[in-house]
Amino acid sequence: MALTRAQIVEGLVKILGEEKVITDEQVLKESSIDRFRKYEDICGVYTQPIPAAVVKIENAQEVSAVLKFANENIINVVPRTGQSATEGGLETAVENSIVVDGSGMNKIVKIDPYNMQATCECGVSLQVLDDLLREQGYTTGHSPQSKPLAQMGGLVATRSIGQLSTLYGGIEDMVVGVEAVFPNGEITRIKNVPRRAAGPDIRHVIIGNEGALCYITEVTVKIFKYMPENNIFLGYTLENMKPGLEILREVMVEGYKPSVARLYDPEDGAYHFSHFADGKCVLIFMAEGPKAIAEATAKAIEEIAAKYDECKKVDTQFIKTWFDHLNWDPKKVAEERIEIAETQNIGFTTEVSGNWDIIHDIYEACCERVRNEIPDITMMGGHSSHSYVNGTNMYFMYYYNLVDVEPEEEITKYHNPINKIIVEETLKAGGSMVHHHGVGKHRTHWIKEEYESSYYILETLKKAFDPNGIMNMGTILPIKK
Amino acid sequence: MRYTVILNGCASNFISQAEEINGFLSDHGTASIKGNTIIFYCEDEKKEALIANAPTACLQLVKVSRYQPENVLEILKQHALTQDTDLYLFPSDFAGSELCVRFAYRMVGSSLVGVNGMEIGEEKLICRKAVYSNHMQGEFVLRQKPYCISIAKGCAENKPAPDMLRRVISEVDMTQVSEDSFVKSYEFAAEVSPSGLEHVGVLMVAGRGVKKQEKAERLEEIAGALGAALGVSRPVAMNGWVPMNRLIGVSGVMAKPELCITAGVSGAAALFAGIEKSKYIIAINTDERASIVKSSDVAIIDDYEKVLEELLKIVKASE
Amino acid sequence: MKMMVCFKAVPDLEMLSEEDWAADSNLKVDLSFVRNILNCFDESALEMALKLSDVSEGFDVLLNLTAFTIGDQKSDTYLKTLYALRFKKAVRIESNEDLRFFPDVTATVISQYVREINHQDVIVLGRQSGEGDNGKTPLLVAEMLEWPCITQVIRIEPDTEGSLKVTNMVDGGTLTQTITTPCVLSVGNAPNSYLRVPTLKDKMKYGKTPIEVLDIQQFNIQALLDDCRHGCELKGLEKISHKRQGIIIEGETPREKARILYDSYLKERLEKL
Repeated sequence: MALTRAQIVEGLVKILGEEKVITDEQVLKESSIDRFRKYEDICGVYTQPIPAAVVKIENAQEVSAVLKFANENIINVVPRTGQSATEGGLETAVENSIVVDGSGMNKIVKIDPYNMQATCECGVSLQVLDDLLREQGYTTGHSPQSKPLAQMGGLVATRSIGQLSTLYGGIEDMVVGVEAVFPNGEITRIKNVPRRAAGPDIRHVIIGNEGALCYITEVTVKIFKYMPENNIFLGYTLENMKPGLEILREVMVEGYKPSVARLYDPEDGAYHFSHFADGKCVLIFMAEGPKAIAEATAKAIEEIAAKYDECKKVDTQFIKTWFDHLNWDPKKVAEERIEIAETQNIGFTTEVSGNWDIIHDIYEACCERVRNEIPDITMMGGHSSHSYVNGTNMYFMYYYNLVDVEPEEEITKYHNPINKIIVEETLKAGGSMVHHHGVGKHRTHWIKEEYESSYYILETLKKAFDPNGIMNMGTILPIKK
Repeated sequence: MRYTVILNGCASNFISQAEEINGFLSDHGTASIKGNTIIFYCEDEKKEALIANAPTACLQLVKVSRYQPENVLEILKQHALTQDTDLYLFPSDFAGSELCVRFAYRMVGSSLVGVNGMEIGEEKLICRKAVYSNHMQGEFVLRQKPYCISIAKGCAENKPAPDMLRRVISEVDMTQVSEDSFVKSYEFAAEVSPSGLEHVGVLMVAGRGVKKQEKAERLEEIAGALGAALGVSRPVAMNGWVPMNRLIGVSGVMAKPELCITAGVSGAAALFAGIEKSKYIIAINTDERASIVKSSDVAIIDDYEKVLEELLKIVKASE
Repeated sequence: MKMMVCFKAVPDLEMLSEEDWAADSNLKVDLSFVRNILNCFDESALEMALKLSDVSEGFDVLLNLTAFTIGDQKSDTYLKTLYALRFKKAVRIESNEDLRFFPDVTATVISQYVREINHQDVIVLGRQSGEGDNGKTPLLVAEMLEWPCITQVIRIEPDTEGSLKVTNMVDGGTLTQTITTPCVLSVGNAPNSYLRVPTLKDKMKYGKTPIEVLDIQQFNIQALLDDCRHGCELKGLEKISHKRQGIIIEGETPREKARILYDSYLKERLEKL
């Protein structure tokens, strides 16, 4: 028989001691959601099942004991670290879940500048790690907007990507080795080597598992030389997205590696760039690395951009100032809450990817449909922020006025229908419905279409590693009714 | 050179107007120049108290039916109360900063609002004031007499008026002036609970980290238990979670407590202006890079709710 | 009733870092590369006018709103938004002049526009903006037009076609007055006044209404600028340093940090008080 809330708490206290088991009602409520339900949070209306407890774990052994307990008693576990998730991954979709909080595991285990790698526990804040590295002349090269909030375990679990990805890659390109705990309590370590061909790369079972297979307790990532003095910023305005995408493609195809390569449409650009964009698209690059490489990269980009008549260069100081203020810190999050409550206007994002031949069609189709089909839309736009030799992503931004809705209806009236349009249009064109936020709990209905015939592999992983279905149920794979 | 101080004796803050002007005057070595004070008042029974607290010995009293800026401006201009004065000083309150500008315009003089320092020069007045939301200090030269300045909130120590013999050189009744016929009706609601934050010994300031009304209420309790008064940043006040008179900063209260504890305050210059005169600043903020950390005497990098709850326990236990 | 709201797009000063605060030899601080936002008092003024418009119909008052700004093309995005929010007219006085410390010039342009080009019953302005921090423009507009002025306004409610109910903060309390127009309203610390957001549909439908653009030179500002310089001139600018010791308390838990804070820094100070 299923354990009651009290029994679950009792069991956890037995394992961890009272101090580490939090049952404060407000904490539990706030731990039932993530930023996907920010409107419910602002209104103080919590519609998800409230977890039985939030536990603060301090080492892999504790995680192992907690997971074993949960596995034996079939209790849903939601792993979390920095709590900056946006796609429902941290929602406790099952009654009496345990939220396993690893933010206390915040030791930087080792910085090894000779082998150029850094090892840290899952709760190390990326900002703290990167600041420390920068003081010593190194960097992780990982710089997502959530950098001030996000922690290493969560970043790896969600296949995070940063603003400098075009040079440094996503987190999957940075992770060397990893320690993770599986539902049966098994603690597994993957060693730190440059490369190996000893069978499949099992790191990828862990990277991006979104807490649905295992709990990440330690991560080793590559580090890079930090040479900000060589950074060169370039900015342009354009009339249309299409030539902007063409320039991005040409830069990639010709083999250049700027760290930042972004293209904003006029709507999305207006928020950041109204002081110079004048209602146009904005194209941004940053070249970095050793001086000669940065200069050569910047020069080549300038030459490519010069071939396009409508591409007009802007003062680089604009781009530099923008770049310095890109991240979401707690201050910005708090400010946003106040504005939402005041103006009843709220914004979200959905990020997809596609090859060069379809990405513009995806962009146009999604914008067109959302603008026409969704009520009370105040802004629909997007940008490309991560490019590859074969394609790029599209990060859609949309805002709407909340008109005659209860807090709990916001998602069904607006957010889900918008997600549906973007996901359907992307899958129809042959792109991927998730570029870097993770599937979370609100794009799971399309997971079979996303994976097509390879869904077999995904499903088998879940069955093999989490046979009792206790790991973050409803994430990546939908809960079977 | 001669100066005239203009005070609003109809308002409940009269003493503080007089004391801040007195503080400003003594900071600026004006003892050697002649000055007088014009006081507008409406209640005869308060007259003695107004006279006793005036910052200069030489006084002119003007009786009005109530403080109404259009009337006051008309009286000042029309009635030769103000001959051969080169410098008009106004207090930092709402009335002072309004009258200063409008009166200067009518007298074809020059004006500056929020002055925190001045030097009297040959045919000019050099004034200093904070600009760019308290990021920079500007120096201005006023050349056109009469110079009309209102002083910056909190720029001088409030100083009780010196004990001296006061001379009322003129007293006029101007209750009949009616430049306010555009007002069809009015209703005054006295501040229910004046915040008094300007003069508290311990001030706690809550910033953008405050996410909900309940959090603001809890902070209020904690502040109370620590013997502190609670002030807030602009976004919190804009939300209507606490009365607007708790707003700290350029557009609100300029406090100068012995001890100031900031909770979730980032340190924006406009807010910091309101606490920079604190003797000692303790900052609690999750973000080590927030500017408040460098602007504090001592800082804790952590969640302010948790720290304050713990601090409360410690304080309670030690009592 | 014709009501004009004057606003200014200002650089988001919080985006600047410590070292950006430097004035050149002409006492100019370069803020052009920073994102613009609406001056907060002006934003309150705009939203206040819209809220008034929402309820005016119930009083049989037809409120005709004009939005007015002085500046370059960058401000057009705000004017378009205001059209989409149903302002009847949006006016921009094209200017590249640096008017940060010339409130007299700004006030002259506003009052001249209202006197000679587009008559109004009420002018609403924010009380100051965070660059010059002059706090003079609304007062000077009132003086120049010889209109009465109400400062520190926090609420405007409809009354009749020729009058309004206005609440403002005064020293020691709040005043609620019913006043006849014309008048100038200077907006202070008004709670709950973020500007609402128009829908895309309204932006498409109304946002394209042409903006009335006039050249600032037609207001003879060169002579004015010289005049103002003579009256009150900025002669120096220095960065204000807010630096203190900034000792960071090291500790593992909030409790430990609170304990150190109390024992080493707080206890004695609290006892003294």
